[in-house]
Amino acid sequence: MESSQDIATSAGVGEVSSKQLSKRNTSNRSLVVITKVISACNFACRYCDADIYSNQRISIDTVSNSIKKALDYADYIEFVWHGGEPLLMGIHFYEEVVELQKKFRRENQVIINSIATNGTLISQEWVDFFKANDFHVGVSLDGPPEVHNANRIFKSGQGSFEQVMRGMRLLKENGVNFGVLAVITKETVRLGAKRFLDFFIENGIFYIGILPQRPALNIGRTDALPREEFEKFAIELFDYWYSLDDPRIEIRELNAILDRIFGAESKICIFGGDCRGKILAITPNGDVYSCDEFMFDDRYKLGNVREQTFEEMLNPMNPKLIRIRSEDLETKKSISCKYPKICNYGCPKDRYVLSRVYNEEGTCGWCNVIDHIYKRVMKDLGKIKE
Amino acid sequence: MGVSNFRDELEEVWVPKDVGELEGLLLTIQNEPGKKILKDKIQQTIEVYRDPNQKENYVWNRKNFARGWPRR
Repeated sequence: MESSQDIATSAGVGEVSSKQLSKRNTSNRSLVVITKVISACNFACRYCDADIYSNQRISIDTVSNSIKKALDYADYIEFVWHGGEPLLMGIHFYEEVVELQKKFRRENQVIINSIATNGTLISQEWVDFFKANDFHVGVSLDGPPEVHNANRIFKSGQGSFEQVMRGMRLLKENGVNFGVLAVITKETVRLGAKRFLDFFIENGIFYIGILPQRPALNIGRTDALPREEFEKFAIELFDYWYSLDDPRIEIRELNAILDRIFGAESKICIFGGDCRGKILAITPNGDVYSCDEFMFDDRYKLGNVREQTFEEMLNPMNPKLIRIRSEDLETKKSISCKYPKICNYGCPKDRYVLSRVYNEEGTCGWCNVIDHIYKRVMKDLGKIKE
Repeated sequence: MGVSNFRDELEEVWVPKDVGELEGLLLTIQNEPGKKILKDKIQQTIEVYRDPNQKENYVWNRKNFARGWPRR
């Protein structure tokens, strides 16, 4: 029997070789499928906007539908396993996922699996599975205990810092590559950018993604980190990171801004441009939304994966997709800063939140950060004087 | 910190016109001390644009996904 490792090497699950890609037509379709496998979590994070109380679990039948239809539709597919806490589904579920991917995969298709976890349920068994099947792991860690435990708590109310660090140690000891996703909150801002980054470096964590705390619209909450505070923090973080001048340390969003300044494509969606029709989210009952950032609004529901194909849902003439794209265009019109070439107008959700919840038209939420980075880069390239 | 404080700045945002311009920039700063992040980033971008087929590879770069960061 073919092992998972064989598949990863020979058939492209998780493996993107440049040779393989160079043979391919770059107009081939790509798709990111974020699957909310479970509406339950062992955490009760204070800022969470996910459904973690209905305890719905996706069925293998629904997963099978989504994998088959995604592989029918696209040639580059990233499956993002999300929750709730996706590890609550158990390893056997993901073993079935991998088997289904092998079953439905066509020649030369590229399949990548990512999983976003709170890290507390990671065991040796999970680590072995991640390694054997080349799952890419993102762990949520907001920073040192006083920052992390302020929001990322178990249902008992206890902070989760120690248990997350234990899970990450297991990943590190076993050579599993992982990145950290940190939500930037008022506690992070209070800590300061230098101490925030120093904490990660001191703990041997060099890959950090930063996400501003957004309003939990799913549950009707509008409290969030104000844009000005986030931008101020991100600028301080850039200045400190840039002063360290160590390319081994990657701050995902800041790297993406530099990519865009030099004309490369953004490796993350928020600065990637037209994301509609390329990034989908699936609920446990199979409903398909245009990105998980819009699961609070049924106007962004494109269909159900049990009843329709992606070909049907993503047909450019689908009135739902046309309406969504048209609304995106409307929110782009008010962007008044001079950097759309760099930010590609940012994330539609950020524009939606800033304009509708905070009455801040004209920004994607990164204008000041991009302006700061752009001017610093231009200065260092000798293109502008100080 | 306002939202639209760049509206009155009339200068055009610079973007490299081709890979040659990026190569020139890299040569200019190559021997300057520091600027390792910039040099690294320009070098990466040059490699992508030297080979148009690498453009997609860059976005779907395994190294990026290995961080567990979904493209979305």
